[in-house]
Amino acid sequence: MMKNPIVAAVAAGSLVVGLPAVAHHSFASYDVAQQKLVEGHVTQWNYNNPHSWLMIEAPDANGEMKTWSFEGAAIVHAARQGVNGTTYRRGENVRVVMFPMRDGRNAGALCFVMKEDGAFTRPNDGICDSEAVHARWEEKGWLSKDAKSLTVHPAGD
Amino acid sequence: MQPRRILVTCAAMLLAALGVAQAQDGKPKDAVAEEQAKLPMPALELPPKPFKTAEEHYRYLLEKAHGGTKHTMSTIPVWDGLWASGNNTMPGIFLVNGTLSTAWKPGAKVKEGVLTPPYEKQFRERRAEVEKYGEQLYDRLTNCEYPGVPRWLWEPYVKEFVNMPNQSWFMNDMMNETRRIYINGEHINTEAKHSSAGDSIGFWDGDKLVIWTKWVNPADYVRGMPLTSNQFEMVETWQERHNASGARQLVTQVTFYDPLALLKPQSAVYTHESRPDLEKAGVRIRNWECDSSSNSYKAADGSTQFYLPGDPQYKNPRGFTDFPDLPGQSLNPIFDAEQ
Repeated sequence: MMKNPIVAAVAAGSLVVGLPAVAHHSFASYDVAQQKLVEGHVTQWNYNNPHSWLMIEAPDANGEMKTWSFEGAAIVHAARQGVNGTTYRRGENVRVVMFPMRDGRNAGALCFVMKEDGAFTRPNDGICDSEAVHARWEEKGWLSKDAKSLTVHPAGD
Repeated sequence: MQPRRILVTCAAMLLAALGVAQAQDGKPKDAVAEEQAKLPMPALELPPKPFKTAEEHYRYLLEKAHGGTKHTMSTIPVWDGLWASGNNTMPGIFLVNGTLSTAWKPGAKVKEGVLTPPYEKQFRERRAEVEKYGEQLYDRLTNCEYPGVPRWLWEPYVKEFVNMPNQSWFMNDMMNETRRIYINGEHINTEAKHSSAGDSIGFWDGDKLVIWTKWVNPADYVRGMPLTSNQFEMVETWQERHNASGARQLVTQVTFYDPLALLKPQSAVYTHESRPDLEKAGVRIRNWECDSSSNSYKAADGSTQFYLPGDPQYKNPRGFTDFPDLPGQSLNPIFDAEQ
């Protein structure tokens, strides 16, 4: 049995996801064993290499408005998935499903983003199989109108 | 219109149509190594005989090609359009039954008798980290270091290839790293130092481009794979082919020479796939902004971490200006204007 909970969690997460990422860095600082929903308003959409970043303003666990930062794919990978520099606009409401950071900061690795009109968008890097995760969230009803921001669900059943 | 140009135009139209189909299926083709591992793979072609050095290998091929084909701008192979790396057999050199699908994951077994003892020891330590944490905790590229070669052959970003009679330019959007291959030349190193992509010379053998690269900085084959030494050299043969489904493919047969890291030279085959779907999506290669936009770094415990908004070291990916009060100094005018 693994004594280090971080090691155990990383190992479990890697088994759950099973998708090697292609980023220019390791994804080990993200907790791929759980997926978190965060809802807020876009403040920045940085469609950049080596990674795009989506910034939103959303309440934290204490109800205080904070900046949340989510890492996505490089331009070439995001473009292939139908995302470009104008996909997200400042002020629009979005619902982000992401792998949260292990250290609990207000950040994570993007999995998918639901726009206000219900559009499903995939700015994610290889850390997430966004289509499969989205299908699972839909199937479980975790994206219903009643779903609360900061809700966390395990990556596997 | 010349027959060759008509053929190229028709092929481009067909590929564009194929590209739409590729884009519409919605599946990532190169986002993950597992997807790449499913791409068509030509057979590995070993060197015609064993060579002790890259120079010996290159000179043999040059002699066999009678000094090489002297192309003009009208005869030189045109590898236009955008390309992305496909499948390759490199992991099989270092891992038992290694493929791109298994190379990054725990569970792969290190092949014995491939690496020299110090390099095998280091590789086993790297693989132990993969076993323990699910992946290598820190990648040297995190701090915007160049992929270099041999990693250039695999990096799964977008690339362009420009062939001219006297030079070929192999351009990777990642880190703006361009390899320049000097045709029918000799190695030159007036700086007396190594570099990330090294120095490459080449010759054409019909439609095959043969390249010899040396003076390469120590690097690695890719994250999770072994390190290379500063004695690493490689001989590549590049050729455009069509895969079983008719799509354009660049096939690279390569032999790695590294007397400090490899017990004997090793060969692999790499591919690049034509990506008309990316062109249709409007992808153009821009300057890679890693230095100004990347907030990832190596933490004290050896793991990868990120500076976030509010951290003093945080770099705004949209850029910084010393003159925020002066009109027209925003580095993000399109995003700002669309609000």
